[in-house]
Amino acid sequence: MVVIRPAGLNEKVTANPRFVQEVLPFLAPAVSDLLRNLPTSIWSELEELRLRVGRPLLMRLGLGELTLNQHGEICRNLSDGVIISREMVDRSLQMITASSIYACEEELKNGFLTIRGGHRVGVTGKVVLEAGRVKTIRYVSSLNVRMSREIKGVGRQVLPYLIHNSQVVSTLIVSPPQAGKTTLLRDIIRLLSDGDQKLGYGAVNVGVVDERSELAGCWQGVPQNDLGRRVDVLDACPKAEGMLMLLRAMAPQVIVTDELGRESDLRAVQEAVSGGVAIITSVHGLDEQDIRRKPVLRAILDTGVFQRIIVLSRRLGVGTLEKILDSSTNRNLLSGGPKLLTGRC
Amino acid sequence: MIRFAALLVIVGACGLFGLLMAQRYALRPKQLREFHQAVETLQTEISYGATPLPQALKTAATGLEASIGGFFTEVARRIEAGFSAEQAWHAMIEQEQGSFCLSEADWQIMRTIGNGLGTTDCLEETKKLRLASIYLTEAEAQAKERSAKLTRLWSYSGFLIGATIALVIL
Repeated sequence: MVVIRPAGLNEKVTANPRFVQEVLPFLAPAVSDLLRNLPTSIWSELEELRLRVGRPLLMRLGLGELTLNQHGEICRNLSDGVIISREMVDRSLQMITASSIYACEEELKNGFLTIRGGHRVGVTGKVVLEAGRVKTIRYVSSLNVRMSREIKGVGRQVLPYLIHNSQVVSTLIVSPPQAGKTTLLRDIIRLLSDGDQKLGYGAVNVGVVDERSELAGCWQGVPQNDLGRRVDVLDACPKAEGMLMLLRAMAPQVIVTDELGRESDLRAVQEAVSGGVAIITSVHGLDEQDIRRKPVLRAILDTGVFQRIIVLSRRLGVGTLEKILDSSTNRNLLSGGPKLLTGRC
Repeated sequence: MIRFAALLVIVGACGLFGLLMAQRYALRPKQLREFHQAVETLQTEISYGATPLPQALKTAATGLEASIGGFFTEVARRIEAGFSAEQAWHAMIEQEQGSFCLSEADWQIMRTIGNGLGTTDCLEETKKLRLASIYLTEAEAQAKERSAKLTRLWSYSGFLIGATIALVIL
């Protein structure tokens, strides 16, 4: 059995207090007790925590996977990991929903729940259908706690490319899963709504349609992430309807939403842009060629509403900025090859 | 003199016991009504507002007599502390059963409310609470009937039994 003892483990080991306070209270005591003594180095790298009935506890960090044995020791070999029982999953679900599954029906239909701190918990199990549509999930067998991280300043590297003649231009972020598109979008929202003297632009009203509660990470209606001072959030609202609601009611200068993909989204984007509002949004894909294979996304690109296309990858690590395209000329505005987006600049 | 005092104590003790029994019969319908009212509020909060249980329980507790309101707020507190709603509900029943004047059958209705509480969808939760509400209505009607018959009976019969015992001793 390979047991990893992180460097400096003899020193007093304390977990990142933010995660301890926000995540551990929502996990079954049998699981949270194991995680309580995780060193800060692991917490700071932790991206996902997976609980699957009858399978070992799994922690996904940066580019690797680790588990914990029954004594709470970190192991690389997953077969040494503590096996997650049905009771652990059920108890965690009870704690996440405050014993109120009925109050989370809408979120469960989308397959995830949001907890304090904006962390998202993916849920799978037996899907119950009603009139051919997902009604709820019963007999939950897997939970995936995805750590929400705000990396402030990560958007500063791309923001100058999104402003043309002192106006924010409509931008599409193309990214595979787990490449940092939500983190980038979140920071762009914050920078736009607060303004940035250093970059020389003023603040604007930003409307956010947060269909999957990822951008603002609303928990019980309150945004858990810092999105700046001029943000209006429609939480758990369908994108197309939300964009039109914001347009009519909140006079935004920029509307931000995540994971575009439906035909109705296309119509709402066109309406918003024709109303003089810039749209900043994201889609899943490898690059601009890849998303052109999907009919709806191709149609969106063909309308020419997006003046910039930002392509992200994991090539140099999470948040690799591959290119920033000017969609009218198809020219890459980013000089010097791919860069890793960091929050330090 | 001592004998007379002892007889007075016997009459007093039996009378007091009778009064206590009478009070229990008088309080049962009142307490059932309050529990019933809280369950109906809970049902409304769940079906119309999809309010999370801790909040719904606290809302249900407002305006109730302190001990009954306390039952619901304590269940809410325990859920917030990480217990499941079923655990919190049943533990409170076990702990507080003696503090109320409900019968075992009444507590059985209350226990059914706790079974799987908060683990199903809105429709199932509402169905369960509606059924419990029907049973509580029946229990309340029965308790009222028994109260009308037995409250007066116990208020007098305690003293009468005491007096009879005193006479036999004399």
